[in-house]
Amino acid sequence: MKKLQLFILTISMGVFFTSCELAVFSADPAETPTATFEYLWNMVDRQYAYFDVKNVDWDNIHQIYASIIHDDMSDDTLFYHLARMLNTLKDGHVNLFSDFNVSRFNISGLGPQNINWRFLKDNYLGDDYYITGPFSHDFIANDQIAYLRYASFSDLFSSADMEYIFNRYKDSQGMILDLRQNGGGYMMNIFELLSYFSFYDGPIYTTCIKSGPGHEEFTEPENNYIQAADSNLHYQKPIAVLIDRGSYSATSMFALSTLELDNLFLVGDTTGGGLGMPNGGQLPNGWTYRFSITRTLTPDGINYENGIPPDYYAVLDSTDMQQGFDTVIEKALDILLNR
Amino acid sequence: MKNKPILILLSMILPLLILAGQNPDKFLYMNTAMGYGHVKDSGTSPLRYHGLSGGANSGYIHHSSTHNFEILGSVSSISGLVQEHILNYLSTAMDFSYTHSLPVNLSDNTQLNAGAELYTSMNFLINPSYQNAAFNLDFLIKLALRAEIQHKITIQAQTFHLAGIKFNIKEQSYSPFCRIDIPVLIFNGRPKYAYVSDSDLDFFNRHYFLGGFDLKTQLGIKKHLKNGNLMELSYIWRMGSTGKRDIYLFEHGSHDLAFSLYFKLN
Repeated sequence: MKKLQLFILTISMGVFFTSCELAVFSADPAETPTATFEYLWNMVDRQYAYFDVKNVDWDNIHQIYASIIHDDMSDDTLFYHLARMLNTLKDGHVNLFSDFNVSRFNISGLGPQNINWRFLKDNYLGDDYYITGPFSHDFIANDQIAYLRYASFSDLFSSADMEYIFNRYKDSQGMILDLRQNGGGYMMNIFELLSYFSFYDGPIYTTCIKSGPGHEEFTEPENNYIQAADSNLHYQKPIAVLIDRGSYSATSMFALSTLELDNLFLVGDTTGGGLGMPNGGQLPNGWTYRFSITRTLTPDGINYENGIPPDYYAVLDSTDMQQGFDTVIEKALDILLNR
Repeated sequence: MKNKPILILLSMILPLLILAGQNPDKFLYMNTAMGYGHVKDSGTSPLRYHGLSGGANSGYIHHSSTHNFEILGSVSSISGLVQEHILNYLSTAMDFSYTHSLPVNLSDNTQLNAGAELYTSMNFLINPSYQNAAFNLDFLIKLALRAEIQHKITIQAQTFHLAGIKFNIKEQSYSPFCRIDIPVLIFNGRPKYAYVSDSDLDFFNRHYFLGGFDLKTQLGIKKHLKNGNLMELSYIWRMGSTGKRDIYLFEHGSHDLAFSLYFKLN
């Protein structure tokens, strides 16, 4: 009988502890539109990194949308209003993802479309331009200047690619690196590409990460460095980096980094910005989101989140184009050939 | 004190010498488990992901009438689904435990053991839907009290007839048991406020703190084989939470059915 009592006690303990789980864990949230709105607003309020430069009164935004959103709302309508709320930040790194839509802010729409690839091929490159790795390239301006088009920092390249390119253009007077409408990609490609253009070993930008719920709570700035590539080939001649409003995220960070290098300069329109690292999460109704939670500054502490201005402003002009000229390229050529 | 290093060395070697002199049973242990689990990481989602759990572990077990010693290595996972989003929680761990038989006379075949467990794990949380928060790494070091009760039942050999057919049942031994690991001290390494690794993926740049709980119970039955090996079927329940000192609460639980083999080494 004693043994039976012992084992009944043992089994009861097991059942008891199993039942404890539900009582101990935190409750799951409501999946209502209002709960979803409050959660998203709070996460942005506590973690978004760029309230200082966006001129947005986020508390006022809460008042506006709290009066609009109600629990009887359809998913479509809720998505519409949450997307509009997020778009008040005017940030291309802020998105809401549902199973039927993706919200986005059209950063490149802040300025004119500053590149026409068909036009470039018809008037500058022809049909026989080279494609090495992710780079489309060839000589222009009577073989005096090298033109490189890099369409996305998501495209990887090798040291062999760079060595071929630099070998081909080693006798050129300068280079045009066309990053117009390059929407960004992998940050490692920034450091990799820059390492071939300079022997500069030093900080190119600083990063601060959100460290608390206050709008200005960040970690201490941390320097990010480049190191010159080990390759014997470095392109040391002047390089005109073409940018426009569609030059975003990693491309903007590349443009920011050129401020520390003497042989690179920016031609075109202000970049789109997007210097923060977007971080993601999920809402109570299962949708996901992302927004910037880091702040990227120059080593001197300047915040260019709203875009890096060019050293030389130029946008496509229809009159020039009718005569077969890309206004931005012509501006770059003028500077490179007359330096 | 000049003899301090020698004393420290002796205090480490002595328990092993004592263990070696007891003529214990030594086993190679292998286990596989599968069941239901759930994970909630408030740093990335307010939702609890439910799904399959499973794992395997292997190691060395040293068992005598007075004490038990175990060294185990394990991998386990919980995969949960919310709408089209999949979250995978992967854990790799090392488990060290020592228990001593308590001088409590419950019955001739009942053993009550108590002791301690040191558990260290590295845990990966992966959900591609979370952009730069898609991959995260946690550390956990746990010191726990372990208590176990085990009773050996021997079913004598018997013969019976059914529908004119003679059945011979050989003598069989079983040991039902119940084990509980109660956490005493837990050291955690969790993501910091922004919940993202920096661009250098500095995994050791974590929020470190003491706290939380990680409770484990196991109910099962061992079958003693003639060659000295053992087979075991058990139900394992585990639940844990990082508690209030974490920036973002992390909770997990699993209910697994486990099958284990003990291969006698001596």
